[in-house]
Formats: sequence, structure tokens, C-alpha cells
Amino acid sequence: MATADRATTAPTPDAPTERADAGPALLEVRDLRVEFFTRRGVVKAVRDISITIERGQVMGLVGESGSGKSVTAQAIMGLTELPGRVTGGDVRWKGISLLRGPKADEEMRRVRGNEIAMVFQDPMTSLNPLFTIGNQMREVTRRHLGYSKRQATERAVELLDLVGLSNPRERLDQHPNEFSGGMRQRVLIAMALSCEPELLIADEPTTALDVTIQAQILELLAKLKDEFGLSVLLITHDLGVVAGMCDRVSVMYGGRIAEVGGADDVFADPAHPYSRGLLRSTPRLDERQARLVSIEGAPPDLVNPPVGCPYAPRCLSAGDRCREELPELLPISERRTVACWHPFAAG
Amino acid sequence: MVVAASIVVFLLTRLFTDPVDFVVPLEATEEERAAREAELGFDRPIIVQFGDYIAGLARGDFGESLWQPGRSTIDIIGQTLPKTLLLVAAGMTLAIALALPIGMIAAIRPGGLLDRLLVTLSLAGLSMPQFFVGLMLIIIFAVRLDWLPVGGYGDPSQLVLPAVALALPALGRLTMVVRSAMIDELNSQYVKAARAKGMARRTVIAKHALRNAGVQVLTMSGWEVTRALAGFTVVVEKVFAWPGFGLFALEAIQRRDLFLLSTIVLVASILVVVVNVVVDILYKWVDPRITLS
Ligand SMILES: Nc1ncnc2c1ncn2[C@@H]1O[C@H](COP(=O)(O)OP(=O)(O)OP(=O)(O)O)[C@@H](O)[C@H]1O
Ligand SMILES: [Mg+2]
Repeated sequence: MATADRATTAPTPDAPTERADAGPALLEVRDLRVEFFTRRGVVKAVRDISITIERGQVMGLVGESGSGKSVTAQAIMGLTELPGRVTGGDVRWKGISLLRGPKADEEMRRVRGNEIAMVFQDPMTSLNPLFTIGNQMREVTRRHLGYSKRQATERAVELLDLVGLSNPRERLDQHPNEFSGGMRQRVLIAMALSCEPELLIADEPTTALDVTIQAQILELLAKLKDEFGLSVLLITHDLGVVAGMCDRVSVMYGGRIAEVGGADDVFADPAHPYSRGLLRSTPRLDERQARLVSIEGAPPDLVNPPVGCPYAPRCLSAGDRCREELPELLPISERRTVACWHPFAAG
Repeated sequence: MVVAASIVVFLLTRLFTDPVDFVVPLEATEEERAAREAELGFDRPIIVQFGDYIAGLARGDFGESLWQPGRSTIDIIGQTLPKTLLLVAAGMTLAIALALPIGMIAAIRPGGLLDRLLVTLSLAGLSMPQFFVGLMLIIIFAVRLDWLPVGGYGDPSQLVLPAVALALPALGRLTMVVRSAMIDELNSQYVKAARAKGMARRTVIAKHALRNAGVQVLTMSGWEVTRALAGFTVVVEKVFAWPGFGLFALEAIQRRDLFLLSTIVLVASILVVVVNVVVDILYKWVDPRITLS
């Protein structure tokens, strides 16, 4: 059995997980729990999920709408908004907690936007329409690196050039409304790279763009990843994107992780019935498919989640145990973990 | 707009009233009356009177007051308008300067205890009639506590109560506007993105969200100033015996001083236009996407 994955699923609560061969992982999310206290009840959006990202690794996070991907990303950044609250678990950055302990707040302020950067889904609304691109770009390096206005301007020019915008110097004085969606996403990526982050969290960075622009942005991300040895947490609906870019993939369902494994392995042979369903519902270029199969049924109610496996009501091979007992995320092979009582069964 | 306002006032006052009724004694004979009418030029056709009026305006002649014969109407306005401008400036500065921080504080935790308290106070402020606010202030601060004078004009201390009375309802309204605009902005995606860049919450609120909320706040502030200038100071001026523009407008109406009233309306509409131009310029400054027409 794989010791490395075992460690991520059964962490010791007090010490960062140490590997035999290296120090603590770059990012370690452990048993994270995020709940929204709404009038309807407590929405358990994220339930005890764990994700580990190593240096230089690209981790895909997939799952259908509402499965808790964005909530997870925001919790990592310490940006959970009311009525939401992180009610359990921990986020460790290079072994240091960003959520708990006396130094956590200070550490989070130092790391956010600096060592961990984020790019959002909607480039049209992620820039403040009233400030110039330059103003918004300079903000970052001035805050984190203490740059003077001039240094910050030079850095911004360099970054816009890096992400492939022409006339970067003139661009700095323009306002966001003078940019197209694809250009804005380039600006946002440039901004995220300002302080040479070690981890980039990209929350559906291409969903709002049209197809040709999507490809360009993904190409840019791949190039930057190779050039800077960036680790990436790539959130997406699109399994094709995961296959093309990610080393590993975590599949989320109903606020829980269903399966984690090497991207190629999961694609070749998904262990969790939900992963299978997801894969089946994705049109593939290399296969001719008669029709698009979508998964029957509705996602679970997050206020009163089922006691057993959240996927059981939609799972074709669910048994009594699935409905009564919540499956733990357990290793099934080298670097592969699954939360299912009957992995590899038909979904 | 200025032209339209002056035409409307002119027609209303000349067509539907007989101004001579008010300037001749009750026991005047028909001949005396006709003589006075001829002297004031009211016997000529309306169109000629109007042409005369406009020609006068073009020469800078605003006509003579009927109520204070021998005084040019523009002269009376020159004396009263600065007092009203002072009152409006003081009141509106107070309202805007307080509404911004109060609305922002309320917006930081909508639904929180502090927010609910501030909203309740704002609603109380905006729902009280202006004269009531004025009278309450007089009763509390002038009569009971004897801290400030009841009214009048001259000493700076006499400015305090009328300015506060003018400010309070506007403060209530503006606070609600600032609050809702800030809540909208703080929920927007660019605020989230700015936070993800590592910007401090305080910076994001004071820099990003405030400026975006600014457009709405500016619209309402402009409206408040316009409203105050276009006559809503009358009540406050009356309550506090503040010898401003509004008080004289009231007198002009009571005494059917058509010439004074026309000039007052003319000047008020010019002020409204000026305020709108200033607001437009400020819009452009807050939001560079807006192009001035
Ligand atoms: N502000 C909120 N108030 C209440 N519930 C919320 C809030 N934000 C998120 N949630 C809950 O959290 C769940 C997960 O939301 P999240 O945005 O993480 O989904 P997602 O996986 O990112 O979906 P998508 O692919 O559509 O972006 C939602 O189903 C919703 O019920
Ligand atoms: Mg999302």
C-alpha cells in the first residue's frame, strides 16, 4: 500500500505530515470543513476534504457544479465569506498553518497574493472597472514586495509582456473596459504572477471565454508552469483540460473527495463510480460517441446530506452499506485513493 | 431649463393673478387702479410684457421689487442668497461627511448588530419631517439645554442648529444609499479578486469599493443639494428665522411680489443647473468610462 497517500488520509492532528524523502508538502489541506449558516439551514458545502499538492505539481480539481470546488479554493486563500465559515480542519503552507495558531493570520496575509495566487473564472468582473490596469497591477508588488511606483511599473510591463500582451507600457494606462475577455484573463494571470508565486489556484480560468481563447489561455498556463516550476491547483469542469495539463486529479462530489490519483490513471480506469459517470458524460475527441450520457439524478442536499455515501442515490451499484456508512478515502493502490465501498464497479 | 422655468413663472404669475390687486389699497378707485396698472406696465398685451422682461434680463435688469419699491430684485437676492448658500453648504457637508463613514461601517457586516442600529437611526432621520426636526432641535438644545441660540443670523453659533436640521433627514437618506451601494460593491467579484491579491480588507473597502459606490452616492448627494437649493431650505429658514433666499421667496409669494419671485425662480434654476454640471464633472472624475456630453 502506498505510504504517501495513506499519510494524507490519516493525518496526525498536531504535526505536519512528514514524508520519508522530503519536508512537508507545499500545500496540505486536511479534513477541511466549510459550512454556510443560512436561513435554510447549515449548508455543509465542504466536508472533511484533504488535498496535498507537491512542489511543481499540477493538481486538477473536478466535479459537477455545486460540489464545493470554489468554496475549497476560497477557504485555502482565507477568503471564506459570511455566512460561510471554516468549521474544521486545517490548511498548511510549507508545514505552517494558515488557519490556526497565533501566527496564522499574519502568515495568511503574507502568503496570500504573494506565494499563493489565484485566478478566477470571470475575467470580465474580476478587475475593478474604475482603476487603470497599471494601478491594479502595481498594487500587488507594492504591497508584498515594497516596490516603489517605478519599480512596480517596470515589473508590470515585464509581466504583461510575459503573458503576451502587445504594447504593455501603453496598456498600463488603459481601463479594463478597453480589454477583451481573453486579454483581461491574461492581465489577471500576469497580476497573479507578480510576486513569483509558488502555487497558482486557477478556478475555472477558461469557462467564461470562447473556445479558441480558452486554448490560448491554457497554453499560456502550461508555458508558465514549465517556465517557473509553478504548482497549480486547476479547478475545472472540463476533463479534457485535466487530461492535458494535470499530473494528478481530485474528483469532488457533494462536498467530499471521491477519488484522487494520477490524472492518466484516473482517466484510464476511474475507480469511483462517480468518476466513471463524469468521464462518460464528457464528450471525447478520440472516441466517437453516439450520445452524451449524463448522470441520472440530482446532486445531494448539502443541508441534510445522506448518512452514507453521497453518491449512493445515483450510483447503479450501491448496496445497503453504501447508503448507511460513509466510505472513507482509502488507498487502493500506489498513489491512488478512493472513497467507495466497491471501487471499479459499474457506475 | 432656466429659460423654461422663467417662462413658466412669468406666465403663471401674469396670467392667473392680477398683481395689481395686491399693490393698490383696497379702497382705491378704478382710476387709481388703472393708473398704477399703467405705471407697472400690466395693461399691455402679455407678449409685449414678456418681451420687455426678457430684454431687461439681457441688459442685466431683473426688475424692481414691488414689495420694497426702489430696490432691484437682484440686489435683494445678492443679499439673501449667500446666507442660504452658507446654510446649504454647512448642512450638506455635514450630511455627506457623516453619511460616508456611517454607511460604510454599516455595510461591513450587513445584518449585524451595528448595521441594524445604524439603519434604524437612518430610517428615523429620513422619516422625520424637516420642521419637526427643527423644532425638536430648538426644544432640546436651545430651550432645555440652552447651549445654542434659537435662531437668527450673524453669529457662527446660530448656524449650528439650522445646519444640523437641514442635514439630518439628508443624512438618513444618504446613509442608506451609501450602505446599499457599498454592500453591492463589497459582494462583487473584483473585491474578491482584490482580496485574493492580498490587499488588506481596509484598502479594498476604502479604495476599490468606495470609488465604485461613489457614482451612486454622487447622484444622490447632487440630488440632495439640488433639493435643498430649490426650496427645501425654506422650512428650516422659517423655523430658525434664517434670513436667506427661501425666507424671502416665502415673503415674495405672500406679498405677490412678482418681480422678486420671478428673479428668485430664475436664480434657483440657474443654481440647479450649476449643481448638475458640477456633479457631471465629478462623475467623470470618479468613473473615467463616463464621457461628458
Ligand atoms: N454564500 C453562500 N451561501 C450559501 N451557500 C453557499 C454559498 N456559497 C456556496 N454555497 C454552497 O456551497 C456549495 C458549493 O459551491 P461552490 O461554489 O464551491 O461549487 P463549485 O463546485 O465551485 O461549482 P461550480 O462548478 O458551479 O463553480 C453550493 O452548492 C452552495 O450550496
Ligand atoms: Mg465554482
